[in-house]
Amino acid sequence: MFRHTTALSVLALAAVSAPYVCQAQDPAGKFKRITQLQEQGKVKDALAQCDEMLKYFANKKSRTVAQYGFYEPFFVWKKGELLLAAKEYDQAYAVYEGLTKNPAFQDKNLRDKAKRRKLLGGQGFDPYLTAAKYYMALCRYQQGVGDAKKGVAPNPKAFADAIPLLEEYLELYQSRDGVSKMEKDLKLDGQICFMLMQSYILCETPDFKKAGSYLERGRKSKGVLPDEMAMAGLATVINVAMKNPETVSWVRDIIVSNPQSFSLGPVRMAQHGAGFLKPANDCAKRVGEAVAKNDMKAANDNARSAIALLGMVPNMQETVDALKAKMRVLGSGKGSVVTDRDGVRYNGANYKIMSEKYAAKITEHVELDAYATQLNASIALNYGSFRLAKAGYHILVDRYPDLVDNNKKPIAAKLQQAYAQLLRATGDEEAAIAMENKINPADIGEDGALALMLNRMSQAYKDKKWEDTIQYANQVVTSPQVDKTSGNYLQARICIVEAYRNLKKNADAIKAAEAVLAEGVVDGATQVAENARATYDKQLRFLLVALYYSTIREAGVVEEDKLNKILQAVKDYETKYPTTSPEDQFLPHVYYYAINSLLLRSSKDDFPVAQEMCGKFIEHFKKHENYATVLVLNANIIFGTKDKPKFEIAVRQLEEAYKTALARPEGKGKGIAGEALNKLAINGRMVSLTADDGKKEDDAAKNARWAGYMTTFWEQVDAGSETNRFALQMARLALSDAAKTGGEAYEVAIKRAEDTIVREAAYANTQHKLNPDVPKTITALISTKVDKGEFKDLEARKAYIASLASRVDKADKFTQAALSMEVLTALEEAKNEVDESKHAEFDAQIESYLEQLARDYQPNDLTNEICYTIGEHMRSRAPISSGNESAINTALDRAIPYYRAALQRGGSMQEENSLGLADALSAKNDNAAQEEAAKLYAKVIASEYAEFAVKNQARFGQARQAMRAGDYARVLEITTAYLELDSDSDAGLQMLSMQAEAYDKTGKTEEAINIYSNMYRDYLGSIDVSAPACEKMMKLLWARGKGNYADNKDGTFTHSDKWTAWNRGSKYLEMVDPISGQMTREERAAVAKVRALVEQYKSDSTVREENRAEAADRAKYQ
Amino acid sequence: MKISNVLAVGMAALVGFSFQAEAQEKKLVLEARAVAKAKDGESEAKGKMRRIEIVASTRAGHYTYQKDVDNTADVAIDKHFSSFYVLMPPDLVEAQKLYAAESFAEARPKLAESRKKWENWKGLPEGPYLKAFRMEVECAIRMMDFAGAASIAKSFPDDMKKLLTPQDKVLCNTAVILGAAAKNDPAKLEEAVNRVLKGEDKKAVTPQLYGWLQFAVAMAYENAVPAEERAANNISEANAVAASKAIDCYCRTGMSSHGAQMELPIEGMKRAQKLLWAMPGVQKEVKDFGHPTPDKFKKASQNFQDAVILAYMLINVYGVEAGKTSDLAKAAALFQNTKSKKK
Repeated sequence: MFRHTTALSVLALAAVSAPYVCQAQDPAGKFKRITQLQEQGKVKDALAQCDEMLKYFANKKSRTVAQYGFYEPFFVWKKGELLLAAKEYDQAYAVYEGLTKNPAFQDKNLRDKAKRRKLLGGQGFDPYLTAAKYYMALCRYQQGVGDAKKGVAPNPKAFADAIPLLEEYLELYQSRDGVSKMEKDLKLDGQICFMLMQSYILCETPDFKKAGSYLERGRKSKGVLPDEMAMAGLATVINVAMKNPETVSWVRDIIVSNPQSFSLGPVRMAQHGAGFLKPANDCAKRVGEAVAKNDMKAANDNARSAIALLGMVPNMQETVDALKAKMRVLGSGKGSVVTDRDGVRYNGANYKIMSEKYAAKITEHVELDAYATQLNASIALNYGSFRLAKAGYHILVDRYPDLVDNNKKPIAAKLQQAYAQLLRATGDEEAAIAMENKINPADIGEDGALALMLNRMSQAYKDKKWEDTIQYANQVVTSPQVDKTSGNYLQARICIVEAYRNLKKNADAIKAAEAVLAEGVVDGATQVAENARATYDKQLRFLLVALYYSTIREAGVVEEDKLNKILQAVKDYETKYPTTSPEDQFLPHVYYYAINSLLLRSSKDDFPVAQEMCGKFIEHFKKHENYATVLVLNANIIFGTKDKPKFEIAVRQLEEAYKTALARPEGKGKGIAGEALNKLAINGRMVSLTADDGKKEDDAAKNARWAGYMTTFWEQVDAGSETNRFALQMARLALSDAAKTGGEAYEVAIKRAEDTIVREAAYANTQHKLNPDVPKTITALISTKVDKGEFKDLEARKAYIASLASRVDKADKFTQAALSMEVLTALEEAKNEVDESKHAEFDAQIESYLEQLARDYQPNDLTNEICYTIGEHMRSRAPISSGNESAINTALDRAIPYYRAALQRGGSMQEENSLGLADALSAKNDNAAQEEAAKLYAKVIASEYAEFAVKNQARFGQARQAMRAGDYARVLEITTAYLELDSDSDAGLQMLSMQAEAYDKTGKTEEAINIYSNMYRDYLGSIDVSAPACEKMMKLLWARGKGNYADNKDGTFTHSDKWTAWNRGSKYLEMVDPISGQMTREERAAVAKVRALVEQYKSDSTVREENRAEAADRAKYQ
Repeated sequence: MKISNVLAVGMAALVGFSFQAEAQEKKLVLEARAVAKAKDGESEAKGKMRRIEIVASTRAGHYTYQKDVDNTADVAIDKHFSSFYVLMPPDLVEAQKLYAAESFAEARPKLAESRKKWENWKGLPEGPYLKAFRMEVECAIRMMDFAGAASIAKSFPDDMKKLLTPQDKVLCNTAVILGAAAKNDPAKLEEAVNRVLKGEDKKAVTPQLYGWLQFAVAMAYENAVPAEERAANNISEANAVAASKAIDCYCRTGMSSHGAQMELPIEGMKRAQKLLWAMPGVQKEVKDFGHPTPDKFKKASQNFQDAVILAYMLINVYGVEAGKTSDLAKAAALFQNTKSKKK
């Protein structure tokens, strides 16, 4: 019976049990007996006695009835209550209806009597008059919901009566004086709302909107739903609401909004809660389905309801403990029944049965709370929450180690496996492995073991743990369970390739990839869909090309074999997949790596091949991220090969490149746009573009276009950047251009150069790097200003340098040193511009400045890189050719501590500093220094870390040292070996020169003359090479002095060495004199030496005589 | 004799009785429904109803009862009763209703009042004092007043502790551990929790209690992460391990009660989310994330994904209300369903 019924009855009992009730007729005693019979379950007897009393009250003429007739409504009420308990709903309905409609009960006198007698706390039976309406509704409601336990089917038609009655009573209830205080105290409105919500759902024509409105209204109430109504009601709502996606969340809403009714203790939960696992399971399942359909509303609604239902699933051990505790006080035999003050009924006998049932389930390891946790974790997993799911599985593994599934099979290993997977996914690899080690492989089967390895492999791959990826992938590949036609096998093989590649173990990666192709693994993976297989195949081919390319890059040498493999791979790819689709995600990369490989080798024959690939790329992959880069590469090839007819194409491609790159989102293309604009700034003016009408642009248009590149670079690429690798070069280009034009553009260029120097210096400094472009640009900036005559004197120039230095971080020793060197240059240039008599004054200034530098730049405060830079600056000031040993030693001694500090400290730039030190020491006239220098050179040459150029410099140093020591055989040995490797570089030319000198010193004049002869001829345009070579050749010929003049009688003549020396010098002057205006001071001085010899030899008698003889002989032939 | 002995009496044929008891000293009326032991030789059906009054004094350690049909006499209760159920006093019923309705702030003073009122009956198993005590501790924990919960738990008289059920003992331990969590070294606290979880009362650790113990460990680990790092959503790598442990333990609280008594579970998940949101690198990912897409989401770090998914679930599944500008709402807005098969 519902709680309020009990409450009203108890109060009624109190009312009729009042001591002043007429004992003669004893209606109170009668009422008490009826109630006792009712409590004993003797409903029929109670009803009979009730009817007897009502029959008695029907005799209105009786005096006693007239006196005690105000008791009658209590007996009517009792009858209704008894009929309701007997589930005689129609009869009960009629009785309650009679109570409300009987005019006698409305009689004021009758009601006042009950009140005066303090019945029902002075309320008389008035509460019954309104409460009866509710009970009429209750009768119909009960008929509507039926009684599953008693096999009474629901009758949805009954709700048609129940709904208006409930609504009428609810309005009454919630109006100010609609019902009695006693009814109000029972807080029934929540219950009525719940019944209405349920009625609207379960009636013949459900009205979910109305039901929803009562659900909402019910939330605001505080009343407690009776257990039976709450549980049965919830069960019916679950059944109906879950069928409708719109209402599924009500399940949760009902539970959460009525905590007072659904927050059950363990004992009550044990009675009602177990049944909620199944609907919770259904909801949880739907979460997964909804997520897969991307219907997040449905997912959320179902998840909410599932979790609310799971909250009502009993905790097994807690339930058993609670039941036992109750049994300890209640007993567990028949009749050990107590209804507590809050209306909850406790039945020890039932508890015993329930407790045994639950205990048996625990023994069998069928634990509902564990399943509830598992469902909760699965919901979290459906949303992708690894952390929550991991927590759920932790609880399962930790607290339910013997849990079984539906088939009573233990699932511990599966739970451990899932938990391990989640541990790994959340970054706890160590714990994952420890958990996996606990798994008995027999419990997960061989397939499970394979799955375990696959999981480990996938996670290791995802976490970029490449060593682990290889280990697990190899386990998958070698597992006897693995099916070689499966996708898993193919994935494992490719994972190995990828992992080796990421470990930069290119040789292993190549081997693995070639094996996959050779074994036909991709084609053999027949379980994989054809499209997917093609994708894997393309991926593999791409990986191979990328790997070959990496190998080439790392080696620094383009191996023929690797390059051929790349070219073959491109061909194979194109043959197998002839349809070039812009969607192909691998082919553009394949082309890209192939192009770069070809450009690395830069052989003449490679350029057409690279250009062909560039062409395909440009044609098919316009939207690819490397499109702009390939345009730049192609343009570079055109300019690099001096393919003038294609210059215009190159310019247009570079223009497209920077435009495309700048259009990329989030400034991603700024790098390549900068490069394209840089190339355009360098080469863009070399060609006049053709307009659509066929007209070539004029110089003004070309200049405007060029200015446009510059503006675009500064405004769209460089602006706002922390750094840009082209900015300094662009600044120099702008300076050079603006120096010619002057005006505002010049001012802008100067300011930009200054700002860019400061910015790039600061950036390099924060990155602890040295940017060689910084000193280069400083020099360009100052030279430009010098050329423009901006400095009125030395002090102005020094002040400008100081102002620039003030904008550079003092700690940036690299840039500060570069600026200091500019001061030195200024001093030296000033010295050269004054009369020799004043040189000493400048020398003193220079010396003083160098001393100051040595103080300002203490070697131990500087990085190895800066030590090297300053050391080199200092060393270059040594006047080696002057022969002034003191001055030489001073300069060298100033440089040496910088190199030594770096070498003492160890770390980077060891080879460079060793070389610098060796060069300094070898210039000293000191045996110990020479010995140390020789060792240092040998060390640099032997070092595996030294770059090729550094080693060559050391070889050059060795040769120079041998030359100074007069060990010409050694010079020849070193130079011959060296020149086999390099003869074109500056060092190579110097080596060539030294070799000639050594030949000369060892008496092999012929060889020496040949070398000088070749040098002056091959490097005619390089005055710094050709003039000294010519001079030396002349001197050698003159000194040898062999041969005499002879007429060969065939129009040709034989000349002496002396005449030849004079003649070659004269010819050389004839060839270089036209470019004398472009020569530097040093070059002019070198040419002057040749001229002086020519003049000297010309006046020699032998030469004059030969000239005369030859003129005479020639005249004979004419 | 003591009531506890009464309760140990074996079962026999039973008939329901109501009786009243009055504490002599405090004049408190304790109502109970008891079941009298059938007299020797009588069958269940023949048991008779009687009205009895119990006068009890815990200090005296003995009880008298009155049968309303017989003469008053001092007798040993265990000879006459095989079952004894103490009705909830009205004040406690009211407090319990509030507690069940999750109106903890209203329930707690009433529970404290009831506990005080029934203090003289604290020796009565399942009596009003014990019930009020138990609910008050739970109430304080669910209100997250851990210091208060610990203080109530510690106030239970030592000499009465044998009356506590194993579950009550775990509850008391849990309250004390929670009270000490904020100031404790995480490793030591974890040890203390493990002692409870693996100790003699381990079976009495209900899922809720398990979750509360995990909450304590989580708090200790969370407090090991400097507050300024947490406040700035910028946990350093050095503190990431402690933060991760806190996250795991908070999540265990979230999952432990599988949907029941959700105050601490939801708080735990909220705290876990906040920590995940502050894990190293996550805020940078948030900053660089741009327009959310499933592909981008899949590529994000696991901490980022978990922070976002947990925020989404807290709001959309667990019903947490979050202001539009809150971190929780911001995180939830980045959620992407990466498991959809729908194109």
